[in-house]
Amino acid sequence: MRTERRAAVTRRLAAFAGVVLVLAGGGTACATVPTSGGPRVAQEDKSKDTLSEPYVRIIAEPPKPGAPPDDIVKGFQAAMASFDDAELRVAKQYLTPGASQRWNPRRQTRVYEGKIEPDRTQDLEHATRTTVTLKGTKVATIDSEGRYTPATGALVEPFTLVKVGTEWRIDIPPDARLLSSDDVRRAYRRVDLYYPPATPATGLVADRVWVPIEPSRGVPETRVRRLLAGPTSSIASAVRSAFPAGTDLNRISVEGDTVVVDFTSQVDAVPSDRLDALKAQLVWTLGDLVTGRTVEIRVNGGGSGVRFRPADYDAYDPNVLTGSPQAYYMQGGRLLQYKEKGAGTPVPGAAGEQPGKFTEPAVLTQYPVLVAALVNGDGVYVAPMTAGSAWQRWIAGKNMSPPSWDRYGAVWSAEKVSAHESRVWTAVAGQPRRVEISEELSYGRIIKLRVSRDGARVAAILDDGLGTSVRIGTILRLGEQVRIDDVRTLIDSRDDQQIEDIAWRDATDLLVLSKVKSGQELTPWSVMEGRTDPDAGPIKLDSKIDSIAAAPDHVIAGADEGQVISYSTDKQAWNQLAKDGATTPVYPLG
Amino acid sequence: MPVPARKSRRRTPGQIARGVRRRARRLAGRLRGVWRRSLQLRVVTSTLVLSMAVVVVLGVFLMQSIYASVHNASEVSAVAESQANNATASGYLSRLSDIGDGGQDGSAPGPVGDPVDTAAQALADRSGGRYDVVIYNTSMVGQGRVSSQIDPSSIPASLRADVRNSDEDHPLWHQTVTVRYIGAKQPGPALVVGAMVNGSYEIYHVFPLGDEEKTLQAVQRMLIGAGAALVLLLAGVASLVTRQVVIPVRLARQAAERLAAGRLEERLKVRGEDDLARLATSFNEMASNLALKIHQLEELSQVQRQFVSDVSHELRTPLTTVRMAADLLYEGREDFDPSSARAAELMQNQLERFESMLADLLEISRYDAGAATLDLDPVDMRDVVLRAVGDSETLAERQATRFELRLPNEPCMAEVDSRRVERILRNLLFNAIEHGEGRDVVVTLGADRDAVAVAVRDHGVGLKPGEENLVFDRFWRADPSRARTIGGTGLGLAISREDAMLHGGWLQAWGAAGEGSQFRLSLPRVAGTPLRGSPLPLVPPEVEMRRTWRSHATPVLTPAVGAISEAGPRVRESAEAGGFDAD
Repeated sequence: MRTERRAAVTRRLAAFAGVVLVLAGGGTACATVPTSGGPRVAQEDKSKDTLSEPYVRIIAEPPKPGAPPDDIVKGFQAAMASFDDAELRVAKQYLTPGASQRWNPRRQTRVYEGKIEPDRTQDLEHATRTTVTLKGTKVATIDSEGRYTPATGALVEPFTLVKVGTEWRIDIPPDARLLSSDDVRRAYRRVDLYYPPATPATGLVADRVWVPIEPSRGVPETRVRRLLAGPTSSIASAVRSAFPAGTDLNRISVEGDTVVVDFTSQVDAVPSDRLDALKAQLVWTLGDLVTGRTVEIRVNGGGSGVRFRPADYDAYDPNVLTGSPQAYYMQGGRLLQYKEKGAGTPVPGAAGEQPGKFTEPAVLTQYPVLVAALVNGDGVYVAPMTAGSAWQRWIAGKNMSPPSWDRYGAVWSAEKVSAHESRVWTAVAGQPRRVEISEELSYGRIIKLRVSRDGARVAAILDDGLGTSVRIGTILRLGEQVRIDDVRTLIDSRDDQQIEDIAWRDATDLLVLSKVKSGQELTPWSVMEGRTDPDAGPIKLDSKIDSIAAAPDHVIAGADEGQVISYSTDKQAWNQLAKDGATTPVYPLG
Repeated sequence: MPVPARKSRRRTPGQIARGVRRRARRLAGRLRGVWRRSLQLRVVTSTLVLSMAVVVVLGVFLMQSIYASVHNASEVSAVAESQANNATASGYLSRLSDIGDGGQDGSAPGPVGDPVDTAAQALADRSGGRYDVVIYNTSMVGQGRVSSQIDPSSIPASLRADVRNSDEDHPLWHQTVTVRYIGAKQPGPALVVGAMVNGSYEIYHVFPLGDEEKTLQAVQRMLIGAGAALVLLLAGVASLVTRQVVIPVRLARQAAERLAAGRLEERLKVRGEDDLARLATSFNEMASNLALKIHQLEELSQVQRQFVSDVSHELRTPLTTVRMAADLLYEGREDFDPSSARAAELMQNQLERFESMLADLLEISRYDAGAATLDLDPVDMRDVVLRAVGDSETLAERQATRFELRLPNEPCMAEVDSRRVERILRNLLFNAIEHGEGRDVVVTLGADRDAVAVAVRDHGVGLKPGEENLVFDRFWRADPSRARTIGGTGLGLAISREDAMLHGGWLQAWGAAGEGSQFRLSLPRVAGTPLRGSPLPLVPPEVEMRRTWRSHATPVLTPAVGAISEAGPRVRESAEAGGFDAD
């Protein structure tokens, strides 16, 4: 009896277990995606390489059998535009054996705009020699350092082809690498390199180059590699890279929120006082690629390296001014500080307290805050912006140009010695020193001299009797000696053009106010490329302007009828800042 | 000659191979032994193999379905994206033909730039690094574009041929290929979707399948790990379960072995109420019942023996009185009438027989009680035989039987209890006279280093097969209908056997129908030494010889004869075993 009852209980239990199993199986089938449960922290996908921006390469294809001369030249152009292979082996297949030996594309890269014009008159069946001409306009040259120099004029480039066996091959190629501006747009990137100045000081100097994207590396690595390769010759003597010589880049990778830059072991040799400069160089050269991320420097991929945030190196900003810089302007013979609400207030010290004594003020915002100005017409005077201060003469001279500060606390001014000769002076703490300048700058009258905010270059309006031109020079500081080297002409003097004012917008861009026949023109120029930015045209003007001042993303101007106006880049419109006899707006430095 | 010494140390490959083979064989043999012995090992192995097969089949099926679903999902999204991109690219590229017709002069550069570049850049920008684009144009030179780090030659020629020959119905083609990259990036699998756009442009979208591959690899690893864990778990479970069954069975086996060895107190531990517990309970019940039965039987036999002994003793006193009265009657029989005298004689005879029977019974009960002792003396066995023969002379004459004695010439000394040995021989001689049917009785004495033997041969009816051991049973009769002629008690041979065993010797019988029979007594020369063999054959030599000759003459009979002749030497062993059984 008992065993029977137990067996019955066992059977019932087994049946119950079976039912539970079936129900559980059915239940899991229904709830594959569970909709219960509370909110959780979302996990970011950290494996995505968000650093690399996509780029397009041209496919270099070897010549097709039986291709006509046009196609051979087109294929050669395409193969020249391919940077996959540094030896350009595919491009050389388009050349006759002799030509491929002679051809040296690495010396120079010429940029053009145009297309080939075939000679259709020739009977190609029987000819053994033909010419295909590339016609168009010259755009620029890019030298082996990556310096972009604009070029002008028409381009006529004949390609002479001969028959090698049954195939056409180029016998006389151009003595350079020819790229169309499309090719440059595709394969090149404009890179701002940053180097610490040769003088021991906090800050960076910008150097703008054009480099082809290394196809196997991507854009970020191309930037850092170019940085390691060193500055262009124009500022090479004014800067000193913090990276020890021989340092090479292994790779750049992204690990979540961190950009890992992996160098070879030479980077370990950096002295500890240069480490911050090195980090700043890296951060500023990578620029927006690392904004808001953490950067980590590793040596040969080993372990955890040095981690830092790019925002900590804002102090190295080569533009010096950031955010919304304080603007100043003249009114009633006094220097006023612009206030967003209400009227401007006079600055403390001599510049705000003694009206009418000075012209052409320039402001240095680093401590101590100084104002430089032309006083009494007998030199450059400096007064601190503290209550009750007095003017002190730093540079003596009759015909001084408006003063300009560099970020090291030196005031710069040019003195007109005669109609054909100028001298440039600089003064630190009241001690004037004459600056060595070359013929290119000294011959003529320097109307205006402006030191760039990174303190590495000067821009000058030079009147050499034939007209006004804008020249750019690099400042070289050798101990006590100061020299302006490597003077280049940014804007040539033209009869129909009068340069009226210049202002550094940032470390690399110069705003030029010029008067042409149609009226006034305000144009941003890229100093290191020697050209206007093709994407951004001239700034449209509403009224006549006397003087300009600029800061990154900010332009203010002194317009006629005694008002100071400001340009909004977003709205592309001017609006009034001050009126009633306000003139000569000033931003610190520049 | 010194060379072989070195040679013997360095073995030839053949020798090594042989050694390896030998060792492998030995190992296999050992494994086979373990396999056959261990139920647990067999169960665990079969569970392991079966579950492994099931897990492998399931895993392959699962992996395939997961792969299919993952691949399908990525394919669908890739194709959709490619289609959208192709439409965009088509828009960009159609501008090319407009500009191309209008004549793109060098003096009037197009503000948008090269349409192929624009299209490629647009697609690359849209991809955001998720995929790459390769554009080919077979009819125009210098229109090939590729985004990021893809090596354009990764697009297989077969796919390109299919795309070039594609028609309206099947505009999109895809293939999974290994994509190479320029630079340091490792090649990886990718799904390439290709289409013909604007008649001459082949646009390929390369979707890397690295993530899918990683997912699948992770799933695969997980499946393999889970499968291995499952198989091991099943093996462990099987091992545990069989252990639960095997251990009680093993304990039961050991207990049974001990029980068989006579340790009747052996019992199993009973735990729980399951089948094994019931087995143990049944086993214990069986063991206790067995022990009880054996105990009862022992007691019973003890009671019986006691009874026999008591009866014999109790019968003795009245028998003495009866005997005295009978003696008086017998002595005075001359005075009785003939019939009364005859009755007195009969009574006297039967009383004598009764007395001897009683004496035998007492003797045998002494053996049963273990009270018999030996009175050892070194004697010449010839004298013993002669004395026994002398005692039997009168009976032999009465039965007209002659003795033929075959005694050795030299003395044949042995440590024996001469009274008992004499009694044995007497019993054997009486037995031979009784069943000898008046023919000669041959008495042979043999001796070797360790033992002496006496064989008594008669030529009577002999023994049937199987009767060789029965003859020693108490009150056994060859033919129940046959009357005892010379008044044996039926206990003589039983007592003789007990006597022989007391000496550590053997008493064995041989007989064949029509051939007569032979009894052989073998005794060790020194008391207490175990007997290894007998100096005389159990089967008479003349019978043995005749059989051998017959087997040679008539081979047809060989099997039967051979069986008998083979049985010959074995008899001793079986008798030996029988001797131990009785012990």
